[in-house]
Amino acid sequence: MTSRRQTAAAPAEALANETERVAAAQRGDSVAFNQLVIAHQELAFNVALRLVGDADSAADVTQDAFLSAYRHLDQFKGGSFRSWLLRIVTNASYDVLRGRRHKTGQSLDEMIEESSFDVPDSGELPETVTLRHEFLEKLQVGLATLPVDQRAVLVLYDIHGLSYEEIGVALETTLGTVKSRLNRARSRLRDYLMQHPELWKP
Amino acid sequence: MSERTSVDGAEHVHDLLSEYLNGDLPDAERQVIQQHLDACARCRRDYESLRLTVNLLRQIPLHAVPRSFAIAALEPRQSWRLTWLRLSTSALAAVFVALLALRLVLPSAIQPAASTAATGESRVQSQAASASNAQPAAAAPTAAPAAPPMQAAAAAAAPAPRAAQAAATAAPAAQVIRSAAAQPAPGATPTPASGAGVAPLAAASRAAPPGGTVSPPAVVSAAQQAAPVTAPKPALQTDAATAHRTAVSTLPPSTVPPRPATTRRVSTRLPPAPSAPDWYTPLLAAVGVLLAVSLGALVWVSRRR
Repeated sequence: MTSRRQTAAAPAEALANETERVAAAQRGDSVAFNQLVIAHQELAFNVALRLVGDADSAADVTQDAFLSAYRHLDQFKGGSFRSWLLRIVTNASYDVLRGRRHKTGQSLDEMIEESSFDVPDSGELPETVTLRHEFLEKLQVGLATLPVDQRAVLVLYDIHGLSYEEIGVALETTLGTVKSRLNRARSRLRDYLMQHPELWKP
Repeated sequence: MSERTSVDGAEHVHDLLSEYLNGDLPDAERQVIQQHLDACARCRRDYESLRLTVNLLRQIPLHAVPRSFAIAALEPRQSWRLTWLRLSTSALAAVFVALLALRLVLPSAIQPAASTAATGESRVQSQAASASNAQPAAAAPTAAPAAPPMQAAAAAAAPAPRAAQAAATAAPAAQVIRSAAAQPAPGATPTPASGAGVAPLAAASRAAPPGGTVSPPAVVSAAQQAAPVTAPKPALQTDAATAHRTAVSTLPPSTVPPRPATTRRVSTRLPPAPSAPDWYTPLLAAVGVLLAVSLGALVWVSRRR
């Protein structure tokens, strides 16, 4: 398993670099902005993917989020650019989910069909790959059973390793709320997984 | 997380397990939970399942991005400088095209300016034009009410239906006179410099009293002189001239002001000025240079970004 938790503590050098890029982008330097895009697009896309559930919608959300970030770059007043960007991504994801609910409402079967976990291409046996793929699909279904605000915290903290503070900024809430949502989200997902014991040993 | 469930006198720690798992509890609380987990199988089971859940989440692989989300090609962020540059370039291009169109599509629009800024010869020309206009312009309205007698006179002079037809419309008749007067020499040499071309006309107009009062004999004599030389249908024009003379002579001298519309028509009939006005070429060049500079700056700025 490729463990790639993005650590909350970025090197100071990289941060300074990012601050410069943000400043350049705010001056209208689209090359600098695209460097920011390249640095954060994987995170943005994957957060969107875990929130909305399918790759196509996640790609749309990500593209919209970056365009929106570019247009409203003057509204970024410092702090964590990643958090600010993720606020746009989560809000765009919420919009997609809200739109779906207003429509016919997507069934769980559809969610499974559209589920989008990447099958790692490391040298694993086909049986294992199949097992893992199935597991990841079920896990995504479990995630989808969570209320969206809890899911967002779980995705940002447990999947992507953001800090409470960053999540607080991204979700525009307090640290206490972040912790309690994380607590409830984990318990709820755990309960879901307990009903599917076959998933426990992937 | 202060809320704790008390069962059998002991405090369970469900609500603190998540934070305990994250390792962000103070040491004191940590030890309390540790001790409780050692003692309470139920909480231990809770903790274990929670830990496994989190482990599963941490193992979720990142999905590769399906494409790059770079935005440069889609929508360059516009700075005010670039916007201004674009606007000015567009405006300059519009002016440039308009100037070219003025020259190519509407050559007549810039010609009056040409004749005012021209040589003495052409000044004579334009004087002749404006003066001679007064006569047909004055003749036309006065001839109109006198149509019946004129028609009769024309019919008497030339019984042919063609002549009557020509005389029936007073304005065209006057026009024919005018063109006959204006055309004699230009028919031979169409250059604007030929002062001889307008000589008869100028003579005719000089004979006319000021104020645009009609002087039929002068006009008609000029017309009659000219008619045999240039007009392809001498009979018709002579008829028209006769009709005109008859019509005008029956009326008292009138002081109808000249019509500007006729002036323009006549001036276009004069040999056209072949060159543009003085201001045209420098203006076109200046706009062209500014446009080139602006375009260059635009290209440079957009390439730099």
